[in-house]
Amino acid sequence: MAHRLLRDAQADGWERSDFPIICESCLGDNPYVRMLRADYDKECKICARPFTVFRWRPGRDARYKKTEICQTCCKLKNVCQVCLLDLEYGLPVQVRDTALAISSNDAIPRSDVNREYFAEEHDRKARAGIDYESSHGKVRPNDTILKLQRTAPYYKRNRAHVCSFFVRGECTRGAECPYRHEMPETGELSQQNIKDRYYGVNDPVALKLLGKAGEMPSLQPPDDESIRTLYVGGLDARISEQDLRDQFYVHGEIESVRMVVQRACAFVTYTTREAAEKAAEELANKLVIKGVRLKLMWGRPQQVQPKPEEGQPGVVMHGGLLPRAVISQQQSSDQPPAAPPPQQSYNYFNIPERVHYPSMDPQRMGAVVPSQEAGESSKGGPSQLAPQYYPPQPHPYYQGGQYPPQYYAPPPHAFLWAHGTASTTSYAIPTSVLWSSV
Amino acid sequence: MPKIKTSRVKYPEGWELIEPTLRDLDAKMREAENDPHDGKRKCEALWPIFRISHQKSRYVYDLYYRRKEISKELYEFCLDQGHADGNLIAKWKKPGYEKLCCLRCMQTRDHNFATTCVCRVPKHLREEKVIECVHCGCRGCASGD
Repeated sequence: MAHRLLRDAQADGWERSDFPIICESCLGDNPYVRMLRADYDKECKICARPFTVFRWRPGRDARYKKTEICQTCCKLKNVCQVCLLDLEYGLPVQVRDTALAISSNDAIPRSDVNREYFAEEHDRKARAGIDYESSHGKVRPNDTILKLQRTAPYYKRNRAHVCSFFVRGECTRGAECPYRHEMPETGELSQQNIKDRYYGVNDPVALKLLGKAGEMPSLQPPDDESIRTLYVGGLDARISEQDLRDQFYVHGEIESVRMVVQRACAFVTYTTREAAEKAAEELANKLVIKGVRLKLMWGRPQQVQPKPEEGQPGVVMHGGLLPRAVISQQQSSDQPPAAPPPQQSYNYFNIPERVHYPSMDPQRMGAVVPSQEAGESSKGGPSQLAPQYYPPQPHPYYQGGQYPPQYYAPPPHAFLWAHGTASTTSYAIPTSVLWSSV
Repeated sequence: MPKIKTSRVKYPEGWELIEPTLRDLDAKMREAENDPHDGKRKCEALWPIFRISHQKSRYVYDLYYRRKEISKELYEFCLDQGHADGNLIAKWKKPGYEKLCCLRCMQTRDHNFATTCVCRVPKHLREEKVIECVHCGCRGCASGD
């Protein structure tokens, strides 16, 4: 029994270790962490056996953390010694077990002597190197778990605890109080119990997560059959076009990859609709590149809202610059080109349609709007000179706050094409476009 | 009966000048010792003790080393009688420790990782600007600030 005095460290079932088994979030962001080790300092919260306690501070704005459960218990469930979340996925035990359909629960006894006996047996086997029947690390990750897992360390859980004096209004320490002066979170999630969390039973966080997982929408293919483009959001500086290609080439031939750095997004166009659908299905909630979770949605064509007075100039604008072949291509794709440019610039500034006050109408506030012809020619000018800039620059990607942004490939390509028939190689943008129809 | 030599305090000259202040400081110390502990943390209850002890030692140190108003004899008399802490004053004579708050804060043996207390760190090198060290409630005793 662990209550005996320590005579023989190993036989009595008192655990000694050299380094804690912890997850990245609990270890913290500081590479120079100093850790204190105290042998047999506390008893494990689960099995009540003495074990080696490690104590450190996971970062500058963190409280001190220490190991709460012993290594035997932690290895049984493959969890971090401090936060009791899975080491690989960062998920509660219950979530991981249901997602991977592991159930080791029945094997672990929970009542006093039984528990100690089991823990000691297990410890002995582990030390002897006998391969016990643990399925951790051997199960191949499935979809759900990939969707749910945590991709980056979460340091918010290392913050100081809430100052209980502050909650009562009595904190006299003021500025030097090391605890957080915030109101505590209330609700179901705050009634957690370490034993429940460990055994994977009745864990409110796990239940919430599983509920969310069940409802995560799968990417519905849009009705418009001609859309073969996927929108990828949440890009980072570290993610390059090559990374995107590597992720997406599996599902089909990529027609083009366009990255918009200023909007932190990218558009991946496939040559076939089926490839796009396959990619969407496979990668829907699982797209993680270099530790960054990316949002995947279908690209949408521009909103079709032709306004008669703007429709004509719109057509003229394109017509003045493009050969007829391109216009006919646009018209055959059944998307009135009139819609985007004036439409986009109108919505870009988020000007509402119903103007209740003079301050909502920019023209009454003093904005000077150039006339349509002058506007077109000024737009046409830059397109002639600088083919790599899309004249209605922000609009393909942002329409009045609608999310995800719109996608509209033909006009920019068309503008570029107008610059010169033989100059397809002079573009700075990724130019793997197949001019199949032009 | 054989003559029993009892020791009787013989006050050196100049004692009358410093006696009132020392008496007040002693009274303050007694007050701090008898203060109730309500509303204070366990460590916080001891802070006034350290503070007043620092104050007393500071007074005697100032008189002898800075203002040079008392004689060596009187100074050593104060040390013997316990009106000032000689060890703390010895540290104040060293460069960098001129404003040391108490002897515990600079003792690396008493701390984890063999460091000093946080109050010894100058304010411009610290991350938290407002601290009260847990030993003596010091808010910063580095010589710079």
